[in-house]
Amino acid sequence: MNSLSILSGVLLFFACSFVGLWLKKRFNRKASFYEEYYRYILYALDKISYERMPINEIKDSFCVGKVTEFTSYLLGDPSTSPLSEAEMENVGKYLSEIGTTDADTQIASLGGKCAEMKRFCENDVVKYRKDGTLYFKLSVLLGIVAFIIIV
Amino acid sequence: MLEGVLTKPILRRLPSTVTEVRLRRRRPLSYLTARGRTISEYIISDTEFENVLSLVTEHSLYAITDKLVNGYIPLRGGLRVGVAGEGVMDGERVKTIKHITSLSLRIPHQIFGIADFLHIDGYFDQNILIVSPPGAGKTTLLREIARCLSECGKCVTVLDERGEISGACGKEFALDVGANTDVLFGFPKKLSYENALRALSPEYIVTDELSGERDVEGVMRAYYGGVRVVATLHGGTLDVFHGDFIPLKAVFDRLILLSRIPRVGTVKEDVVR
Repeated sequence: MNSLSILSGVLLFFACSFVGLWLKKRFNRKASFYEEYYRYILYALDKISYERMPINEIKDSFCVGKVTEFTSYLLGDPSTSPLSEAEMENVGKYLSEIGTTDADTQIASLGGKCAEMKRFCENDVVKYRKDGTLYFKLSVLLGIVAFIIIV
Repeated sequence: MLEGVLTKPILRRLPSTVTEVRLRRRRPLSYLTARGRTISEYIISDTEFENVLSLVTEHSLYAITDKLVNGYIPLRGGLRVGVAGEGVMDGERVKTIKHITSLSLRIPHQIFGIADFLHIDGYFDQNILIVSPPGAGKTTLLREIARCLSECGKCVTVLDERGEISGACGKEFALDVGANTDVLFGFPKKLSYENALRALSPEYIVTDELSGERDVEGVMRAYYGGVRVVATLHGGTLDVFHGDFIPLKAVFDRLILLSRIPRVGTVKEDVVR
């Protein structure tokens, strides 16, 4: 009986820790996606401002040598994205709008988006990472508490 | 050449000999071949027109804004798309074109041997002006002259602002302008005359569609610099030396008038002065 409860406690502890780890990873994936998105907007702004490079070439050159969830999404595979449907729609809508206006308007739009994304990365994305770590710690703590209660 | 530029339903309706395609919103598809113009029963819908526009701009309208304000979009392989729509002004400057309603695609052709009547050889030494109305084969003849001069060992520089003569696309040329030819592509005409004369030491400068004071200035500079010029000009007769073009009267030794009748590229007059 005693050894069974210890085993159950250990299993519960590991289960809680695993959930915490999963949550942390999920938040980190989301943060990485947005950081890469921001880098892409900066890259596109640079290429459009100085080279007037067509959008497909910008996508290709940005993705060379990179295999991330954002680059997969950019190259047409939305299945790997860690974002929610509404968030994906938001990102997709902006990306599809690039290339539909003249150079001056496009550069102004990307400049505005860069400023917005910079603020977003400094506040929300940092918060995503903190939240992920927090959820992981809470899950581990929950596992310890469960272990103590059961044992 | 038109794959990737036009949609499949349009491509299916075009013959292989097509030289020009015209798309107008909610209007029938029309195209030109050596036999003449055909107006098809196929109506271009708004959606299809937008799709073609998106394809010709490579989904990057910003990348061709500078060209668009001049009324055309240059494409790979020397294809040129003329654009009609509403101009958006920013003071005196046309900022862009919106509400685009018409696209006119011109497909370049290379016809070897059409300049044989000029008997170009290593001793050839003439300034040539080719005159014709639009669509009579000026650029095709010009391209062949450039190739022949080049093959005869002349050092040729082609001033190809729109990429129509050489079919310039990045580092490659879709059309043959000769092995001994340098191409200045994408430069405004005025700059390209200067660059060619200073840096490329050509024996012949070949250029398309002279239009106005700046071009005349460039041709005169080349002429006084001892460089031969082969150029084209829009016109219906050889009586073209008026207004801005008066100084050119002293330059050109040979005038060629092309006609579309009975077929594109017919030499109607060939005058050696």
